[in-house]
Amino acid sequence: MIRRTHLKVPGKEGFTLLEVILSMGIMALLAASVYAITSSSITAARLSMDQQLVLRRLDAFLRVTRGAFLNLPGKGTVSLQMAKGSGGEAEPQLVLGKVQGLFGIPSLGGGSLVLTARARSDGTRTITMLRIPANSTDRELEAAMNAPGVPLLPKVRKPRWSFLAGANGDGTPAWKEEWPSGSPRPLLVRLQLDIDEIPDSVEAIFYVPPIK
Amino acid sequence: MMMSNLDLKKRATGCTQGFTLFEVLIALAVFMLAVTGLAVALNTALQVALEVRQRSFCRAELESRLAFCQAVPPPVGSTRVLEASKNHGVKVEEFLIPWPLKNGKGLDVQGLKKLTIKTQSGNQTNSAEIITN
Repeated sequence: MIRRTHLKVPGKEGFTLLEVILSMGIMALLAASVYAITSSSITAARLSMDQQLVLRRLDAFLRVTRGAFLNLPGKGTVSLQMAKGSGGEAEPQLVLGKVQGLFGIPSLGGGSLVLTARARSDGTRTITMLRIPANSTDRELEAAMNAPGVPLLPKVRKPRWSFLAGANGDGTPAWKEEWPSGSPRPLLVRLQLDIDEIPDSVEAIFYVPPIK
Repeated sequence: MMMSNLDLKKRATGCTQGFTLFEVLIALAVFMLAVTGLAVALNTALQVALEVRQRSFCRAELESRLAFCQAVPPPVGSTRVLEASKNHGVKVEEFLIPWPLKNGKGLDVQGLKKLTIKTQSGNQTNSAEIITN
């Protein structure tokens, strides 16, 4: 029979099981706290970046749309039509007719500008700008309406256009949801929509220059 | 390999005794400082992002209200207030006051008014003043 002998050298006893478990526990706590902070910071940074991107796109969209309204010439028209999208869903289309120039650049001008809310497979919509050339044939018109266009604002839900025609009897503004083709020019156009990354709904009011 | 008596003595006395409590506490303090710094930096970044969002909303709302006041100006001499809870998170104050102005000959220019619009989203504010007739 072999007998094991342990030589105890002073100062070389090593750690006890309790010490090892305790130190591992502390290490685990520290590692968990570092992991929690790092992972939450990464998540928050990503959310913040997404929000910044959305805000920047919203800002650019509002600037482009305000510019389109402000550059509407005297004979320009404003109307809202409901079209059917490729999936059969209703697609509100704001039509700025007889525009002379786009965004104040006459060389791009002529025809109509259409702001349409294209439905996407994930249930959101993308507000897209289409340009319909002046004096286009039916085929050209159809091609222009089905063109990809310029996507201005993605991840939009429930876009609602309304138009200010005047005041109600009690002096409150009379917003109308419908503004068919042939209507006179509204005083103001309002767009209300929800965006996934923004908790509150977004509302923008566009000034339509009056006809002099 | 033979160890000298000196080596054995060193091992037994000082070099392998682990960390003292003081060293561990210092290391923990340094670690906690680093973690706290990270948390503060993260918090600041989030605050800045929130402020940027609020500032952006303030400006967008200001432009919208300027457009609205062109068509439906507030009554002269009184303040029109829209509470944030009823106006997608942005508080708006608009007021229109008569604006006395003299021309080059010292005569009053009649009918001028000053429109002031203030918007507030969270703790960010923005304002605009225009003279209209």
